[in-house]
Amino acid sequence: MLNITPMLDLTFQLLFFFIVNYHPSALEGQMDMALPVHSENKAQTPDQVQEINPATMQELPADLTVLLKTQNGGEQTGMITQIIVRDRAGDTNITVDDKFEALEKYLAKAKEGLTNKEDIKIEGDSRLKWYYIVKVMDVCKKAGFKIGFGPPPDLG
Amino acid sequence: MSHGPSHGEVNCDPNLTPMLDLVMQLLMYFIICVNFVAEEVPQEVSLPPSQGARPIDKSEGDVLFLNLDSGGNLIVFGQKPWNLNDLSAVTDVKYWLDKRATEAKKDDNGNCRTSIIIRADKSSDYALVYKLMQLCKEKKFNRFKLRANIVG
Repeated sequence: MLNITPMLDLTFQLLFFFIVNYHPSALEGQMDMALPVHSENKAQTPDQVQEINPATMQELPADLTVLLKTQNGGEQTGMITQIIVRDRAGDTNITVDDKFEALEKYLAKAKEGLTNKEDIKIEGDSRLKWYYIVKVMDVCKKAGFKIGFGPPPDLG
Repeated sequence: MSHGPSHGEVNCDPNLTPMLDLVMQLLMYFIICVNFVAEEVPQEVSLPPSQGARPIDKSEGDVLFLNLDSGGNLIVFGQKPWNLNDLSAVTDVKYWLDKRATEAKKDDNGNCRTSIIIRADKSSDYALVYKLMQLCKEKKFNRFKLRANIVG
């Protein structure tokens, strides 16, 4: 009869190794972003690096901008406290309790009357957490927009 | 003298075959699931969940991973972390990005086809993520991907 004890020992050691090194992590995915090309810079040393001038940066030609506000200090710092959708007609405040659902409905409706039905711009307050920006990106993506980002409005 | 089992004795060796089958199956499962570090991804960056994230396209050519942790540190494989709240660190980042862009263009006849992959922690401030995007944009990187955990 074949002696399988050494094979079993080895198999258990392998099994133990893989169990110890097993770290199940959430499945990572990616989202596309469209950013325009900026003029070329050719710094050779750190001294030659030029400061970014926000006024010369190109913006996506979006008809709609979603402005996300947060508290600067207090319990809700970093969370969305107000969502405003800006279009050519002016600002619309999304006031319903479930802001994300309300935003999705608003965007779907607003899209019909837009010249540029593809692009949307998101501008969040500087201290807003990235988690909430991604949530709003999901909503905009569901409504069928390509997403761009604008500078934090509270930084001027 | 006889050593083998004689008539009427019961063979009490356990049947190891089902256990072996099970152990082998478990082993196969763990071998398949094992995920050795293949990308430049630090564990301290906790990505936000997203319903709109697509599975990663592994056929991407040259990629540059930029990891931003919750403290505003830009973590790049092979470099010491830069804190984006620190102005001198930002200047260093610009210089380093400039060098990477120049190298990428040299390798590809003047075109910068390197994809920037931004892995920002869910607790990062928007201002820092935006600053990072602007820095890359300024250095003529024009292929961007954002990473998030797929949900739903």
